[in-house]
Amino acid sequence: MLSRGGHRASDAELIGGRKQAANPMLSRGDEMPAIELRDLRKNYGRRAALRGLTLDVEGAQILGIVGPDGAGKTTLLRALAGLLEVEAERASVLGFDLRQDTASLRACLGYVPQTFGLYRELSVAENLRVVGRLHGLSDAEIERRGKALLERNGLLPFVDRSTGALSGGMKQKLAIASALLPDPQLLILDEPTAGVDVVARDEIWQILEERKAETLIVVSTSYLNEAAACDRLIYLDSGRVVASGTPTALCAATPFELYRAWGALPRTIAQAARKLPFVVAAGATGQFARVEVAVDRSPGAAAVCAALEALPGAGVVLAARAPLDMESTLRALAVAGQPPARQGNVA
Amino acid sequence: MKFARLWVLIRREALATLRDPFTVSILIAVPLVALFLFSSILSTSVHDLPMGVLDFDRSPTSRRLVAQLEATRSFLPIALATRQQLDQALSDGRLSLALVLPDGLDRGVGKGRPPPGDAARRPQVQVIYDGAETVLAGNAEAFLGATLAATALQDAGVAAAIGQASAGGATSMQRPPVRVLVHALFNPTLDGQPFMIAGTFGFVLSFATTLIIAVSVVNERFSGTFEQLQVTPATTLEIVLGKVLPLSAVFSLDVVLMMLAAGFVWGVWPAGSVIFFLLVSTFYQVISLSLGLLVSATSATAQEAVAKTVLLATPLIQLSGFALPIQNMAWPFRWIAELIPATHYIRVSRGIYLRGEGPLDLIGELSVILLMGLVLGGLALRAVGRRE
Repeated sequence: MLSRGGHRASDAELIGGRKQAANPMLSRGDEMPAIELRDLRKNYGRRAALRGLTLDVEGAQILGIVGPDGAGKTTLLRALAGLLEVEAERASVLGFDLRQDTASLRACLGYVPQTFGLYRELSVAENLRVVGRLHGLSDAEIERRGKALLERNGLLPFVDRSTGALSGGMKQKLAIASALLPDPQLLILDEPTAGVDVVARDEIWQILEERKAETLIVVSTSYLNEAAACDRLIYLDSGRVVASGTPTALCAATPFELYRAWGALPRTIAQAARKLPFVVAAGATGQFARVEVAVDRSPGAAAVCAALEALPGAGVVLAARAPLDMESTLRALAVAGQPPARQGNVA
Repeated sequence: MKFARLWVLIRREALATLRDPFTVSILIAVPLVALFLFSSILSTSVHDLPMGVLDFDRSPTSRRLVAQLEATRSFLPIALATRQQLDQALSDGRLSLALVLPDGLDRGVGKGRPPPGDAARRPQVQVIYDGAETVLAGNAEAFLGATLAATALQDAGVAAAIGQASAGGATSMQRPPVRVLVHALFNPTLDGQPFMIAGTFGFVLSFATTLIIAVSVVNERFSGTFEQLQVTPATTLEIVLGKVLPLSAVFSLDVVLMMLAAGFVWGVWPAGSVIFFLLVSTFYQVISLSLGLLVSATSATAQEAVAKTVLLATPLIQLSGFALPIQNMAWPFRWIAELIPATHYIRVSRGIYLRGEGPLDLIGELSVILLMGLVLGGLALRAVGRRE
């Protein structure tokens, strides 16, 4: 079902935003997309969580779902896992219709929810055994695959420990090992590194990177570096896809320029910079101030740097243009996803 | 203590309470429902009891006696032809009690002969009731005895007056001209213990089972383990059975323990088949466990599940005849009682324990339990398996 050729995205598409380009994910060949959603809708009572979401995903890759709180990220992931009743013109995951019985789909996927969902009173090994047996794996196969997974994520020494006694990072790594045990074609992870320390977070992402050659991984995240590490990003807002594409393409499509201004007091620099007419947002980051400038209002890099260096009382020693990063990209997407009246208010 | 801070806390609590529809509904509905319910079911009065009448006298006196009993609206007379019919109807539970009016009643009462003081020659009216329904039998016995005596006294007024004049005292006037012989089937001593023990099985299996499954499933949903199961190839039926069967086994063991305790501690053993009782009790758990699953499907937290179970189970158990005779309740509640699974299980339990009844004797109640089990089981499966 999943090709190993990776994604075919070559450009970014801002849906309802500032740039419209051909949707790279629609350029499919003979193969059926692993995920094909047309006008996907989900309501909780009167509240619409997904409002006509359209998405095509092909091939094994890491697909990142980003967006502000309440954008519909968890709802989308739970819908993809077959946990929700949804309405859609078309809703196909791995060839299975989400509007029908999803029992067959569930045999092909691994799901790591936001909250740890394994049995706390069982040991690490016992939890893996439960999941493996429910997927019809033999005990020998569970033993072999489980050992390899636990060895990979450093949990082998804790195989007999009660799951409730594991640290937060260990629990998440166990949840991922458990989801990977049946060798799923699709792995869905809902903010798997939330509340996890930096070392464990890196380990989790290494595991995902190793797996992406053979598995379609759909992961939601609120960490910028994790978003940048995805092969493709979907930016959701208010239950709609605002933009999708590779992180590089999305950055390139972002109508911002990024500048850095060094000085003794980055916070003072940021405050002063916000008064410039072409500045969209400015903030202090460590030793310098990050200054975002709207492309359509930019007087040019040289003029922006000169204006920053000339800010009265800010003490800017040096200003220079920097490559646009994920923070600016996501901020631009957040602005694009907001109603027009609120756009431009990002500080 | 600072009143400003206290006021903030009071306001917060009031707002939080008023914004929670479940709490508000409990605050308003529970007192009203409790008042309405208990005033209607906690009554010791007897009314509209099906009463079999075996009239061997077929005289104006016997007909008037039955008519007067009917006029009290406490009894619904049902004419019977033979003693065999009477025993069968009592055994089936179609009758709560029966009245046997002997040949010669008319002569004995109407004519005032023989003298009231001659106990051996006074006509004997027999009252037979189902001793397995201890509370009801006690109430009915006392009421019927008093009514019969008063009616017979009224009929024998003239003769009694003569008797009083000749005997020269009030004693003979107060002595009824008929003897009321009371006879209980199944539980002759009207011992309340077997009655309550047999009913307690219904209470435990209805309340504890529902509560434990509801809390258990809500906790699983809350901790995410239930969702984790839902993304495995396991079907809803498998997930539900995997949850329910171990609990069911534990509750079946509980039933055995209760039977042993009742037998060894209080000397109350089932008069009927132990195996049959265990089988019915095990199947009855399907109903309670299904109710628990339905409660869990509509509860967001374990606390809510507990509150709902208590609120649901308490009136249901009150209405089930566990402690209070259903026949004593106002008519809408008698209908409601028939819709409560525990009512039928408790009848079966008492039937097996006190009357030694078998599957054929209890076929009606068993059919209702089976039907309810299938319906509630189906609804529970649907509720638990339904995707959000």
